[in-house]
Amino acid sequence: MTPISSKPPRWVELLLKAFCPKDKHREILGDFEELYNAKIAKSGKLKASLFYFLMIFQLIRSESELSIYWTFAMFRNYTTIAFRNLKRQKAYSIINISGLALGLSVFLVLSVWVLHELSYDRFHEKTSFIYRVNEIRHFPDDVQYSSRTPGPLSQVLKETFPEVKEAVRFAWTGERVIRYKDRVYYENAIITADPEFLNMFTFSFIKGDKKNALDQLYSMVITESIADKYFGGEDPVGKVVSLDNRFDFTVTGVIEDVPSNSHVQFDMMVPFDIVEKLGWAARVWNFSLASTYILLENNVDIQEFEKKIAGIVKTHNTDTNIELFLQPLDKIHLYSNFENPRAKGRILYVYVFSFVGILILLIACINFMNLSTARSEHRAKEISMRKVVGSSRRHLLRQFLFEALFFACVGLVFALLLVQIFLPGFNEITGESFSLSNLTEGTLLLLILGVTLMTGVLSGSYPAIFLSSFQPVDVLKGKLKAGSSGSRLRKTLVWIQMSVSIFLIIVTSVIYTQIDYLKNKELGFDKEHVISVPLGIANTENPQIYSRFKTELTQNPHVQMVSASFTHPSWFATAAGQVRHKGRRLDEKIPINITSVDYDFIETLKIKILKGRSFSKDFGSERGNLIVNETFDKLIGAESAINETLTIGNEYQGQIVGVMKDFHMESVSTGKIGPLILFLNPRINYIFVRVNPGNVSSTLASLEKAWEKAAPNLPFNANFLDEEFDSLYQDVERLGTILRYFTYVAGFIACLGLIGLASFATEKRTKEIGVRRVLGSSVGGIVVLLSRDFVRLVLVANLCAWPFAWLVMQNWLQKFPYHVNLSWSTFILSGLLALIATLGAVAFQTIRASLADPVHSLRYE
Amino acid sequence: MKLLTRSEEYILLAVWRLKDNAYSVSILEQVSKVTGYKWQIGAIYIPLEKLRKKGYLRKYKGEPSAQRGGRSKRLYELTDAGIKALKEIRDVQDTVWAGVPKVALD
Repeated sequence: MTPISSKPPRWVELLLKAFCPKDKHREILGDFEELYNAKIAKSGKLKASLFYFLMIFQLIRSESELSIYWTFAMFRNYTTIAFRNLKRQKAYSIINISGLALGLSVFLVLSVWVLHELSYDRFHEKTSFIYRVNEIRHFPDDVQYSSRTPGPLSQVLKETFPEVKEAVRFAWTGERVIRYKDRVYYENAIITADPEFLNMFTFSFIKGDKKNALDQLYSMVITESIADKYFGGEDPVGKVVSLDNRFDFTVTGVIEDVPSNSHVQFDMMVPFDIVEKLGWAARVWNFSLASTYILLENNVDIQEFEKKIAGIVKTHNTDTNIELFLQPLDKIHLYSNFENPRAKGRILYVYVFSFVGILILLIACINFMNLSTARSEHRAKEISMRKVVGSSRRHLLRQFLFEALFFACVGLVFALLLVQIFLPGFNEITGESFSLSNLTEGTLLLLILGVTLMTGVLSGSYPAIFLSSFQPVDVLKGKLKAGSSGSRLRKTLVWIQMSVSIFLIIVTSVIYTQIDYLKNKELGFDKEHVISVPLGIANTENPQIYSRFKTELTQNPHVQMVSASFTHPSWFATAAGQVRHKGRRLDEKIPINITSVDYDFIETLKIKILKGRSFSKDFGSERGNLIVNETFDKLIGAESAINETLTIGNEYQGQIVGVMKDFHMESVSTGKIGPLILFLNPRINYIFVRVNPGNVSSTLASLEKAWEKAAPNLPFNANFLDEEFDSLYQDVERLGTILRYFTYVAGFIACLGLIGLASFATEKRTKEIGVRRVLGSSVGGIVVLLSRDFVRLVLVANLCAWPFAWLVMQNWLQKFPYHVNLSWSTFILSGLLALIATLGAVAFQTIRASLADPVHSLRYE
Repeated sequence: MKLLTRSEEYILLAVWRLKDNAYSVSILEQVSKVTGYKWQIGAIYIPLEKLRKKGYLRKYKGEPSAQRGGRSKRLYELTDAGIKALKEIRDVQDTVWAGVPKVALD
């Protein structure tokens, strides 16, 4: 043996430590080191090191083989036991698994939606450098936003600022008639866009070249589905389609359908310069018509740049107070809506739904925890036996976590089935088109696995800790009164479940009353029994079509009255303009809406005239006569607005001849009624027909006949005015509907848990019930006795849920200019509902227990 | 009672011979010396543990040494049962070999 001691390579030893963390190899390592030293003396360092490594390697191998073998064996045992438990306690297993499956499926459906929402506009290659330029106007007590900007802006931005790599505009054309041979349809998703639009945004071309697709003035790019609709199997490229029977466009390219997660959803695209042919001013600074997007260099300080561009519109149009601000492309969908680019927008729904999804999953996990701890007595002997034969607490923890994971995985399988069932309905509510294949996308797949794992761990952790803490001596001696320990925590958990459920019930019912209120709010006009027929926008032939149509309808027995307007009444609030009264600018304080209508418009919509008169042919030419609404009347401040003179724009002089009752011109949920001025003008885009109630189909058929005579080469397109107004509440309504279903699910899962717990509680008290019955207690008395605990829990849960729900809903309602007030009855009714549901869930078990023959219950052992 | 195997016999004898310095490496050297060929350390560990479990050997902790990287030795000593087992195997061998002169095998 050599007296010089040299150290063997450290890393080999570390390797061993990594594999076998326990320090049980000290002496063996000592041996190896000694042998290593001897080897060095004999055959050199290299061989010695090799020998040392081999020795350690063998040690690791033998150790890990052992541990893998035993781990595997134990897991096989755990699986067997889990299966046996699942089979033996069928009712509990069903409750557990169905709860988990429901919770998981709701969570999955919601995450598909949430992830889709979050993915908006991220598919463009240059997303992070693209910004939309928006307008903001400050009024003393109002701010108005718009995503539209004047036509010349993009050119100026590109030329003045080196930070701007590219700037493009696009504008909607509104509803247009598109014709190819005998195929004629109305299309409303047509945009006019600068040719560079296709370079800045990423839309994949199937046919044609994106570099020069929009170079020619009369060129057109269409989506795949439009190509199918008009051309069927033919090759669309090179084909000529007509727009409004006025312009002929040549198809130069076909792109894939715009992804559903794009905030711009268009079907057809024509060059921007077409807007001038359509009669819009694209070269002036006082008309905002287009959305402007800029692509910035990648090291631009956005805030600095925003300050630089804020005043551009004002320098070109001294008459306005418009300022500009930027909005990142990927935030447009979530953080804005068209009326208000700085409103919270959809992100609120994203938060709400993520929160609800987590809450429901939590309720399901709580069920699992409650039931497994409540059933602990059945497992106590097994646990004790395991401990006695040498299982450590760690092994037991591992076992119960594994069991929970096992349940979660079984739950996941059923959850996927449920998702398949839920998705069609969910798609219908949200207007999306999700399928099960969405779940296999990378992020979601990870999320599913992660959530299943988390559900397992979350719902298994407490039972694992609780169950593994049993003292075998106590259990085997029969000292342990299982189920009694941990009952406080169980109560807390049930209380959380109940609070969450009550909270959801209140939230849903408040949302519903608000939606109801919005939809039934007196609009100021009669939206029922009015059919609206859109004409091609700014089509020069419109007045002729309108008058022919009107003539056709004079003899129609179904029709009461016909009129028309320039903009749709639900868009009146977006047509703001300049108004002067006695030299004073009225629109500096508040935006004033100005639009034109035809004779009989006020009568057709049944709007009340408060002062003066309506437009009428009896008064000769109505040119220069105006009718204003109540709000405008108040704005003028004079005793009566009648006969006051207004200057609209720069020169148009008008005299007020009537004041009409305020009516809503946009969704009741977004704005208060603003001032409105109506004047007569033959330029119209929408026809309104008030029909007699009843027999809708024959009325529509007769209208269509009249239309065919009035406009033989245009398709007939009719909508019901009430439906059009109702659709303004689509978003809130979706929120309400989705929440309603999720509240059902949450309530159902919670009830499942209650049923499980109630059956456990009655089982525990079988003997007590028997004794009570023998001593003369009534069935009713026993039901009350058994239900009392649950009722108490629900009452406490109510008290906790109410303030939260009140705060949250008060906050939500504040967003609406017109809203219901929170009433105590909603809260009390929700609480009662929860109470009834609880009693119902508990009733079956308690009644059965109290009806049972005491002889049996006293003999059971 | 089962008889000792040959390697067990070697190891027990090595432990006896090495007295208070009987541990894996010294036993390995001793056995290799006696038999004349190189034994693997693993071939020592396993019978050592087996013998200990049978009760022929007792294990105790030795002093740490620098040569072993500051780790202590796992020393072994014979128990009474071990001595008895050795005696037994010797008796058997003596009986088996009785009357066979060394020259007879040449």
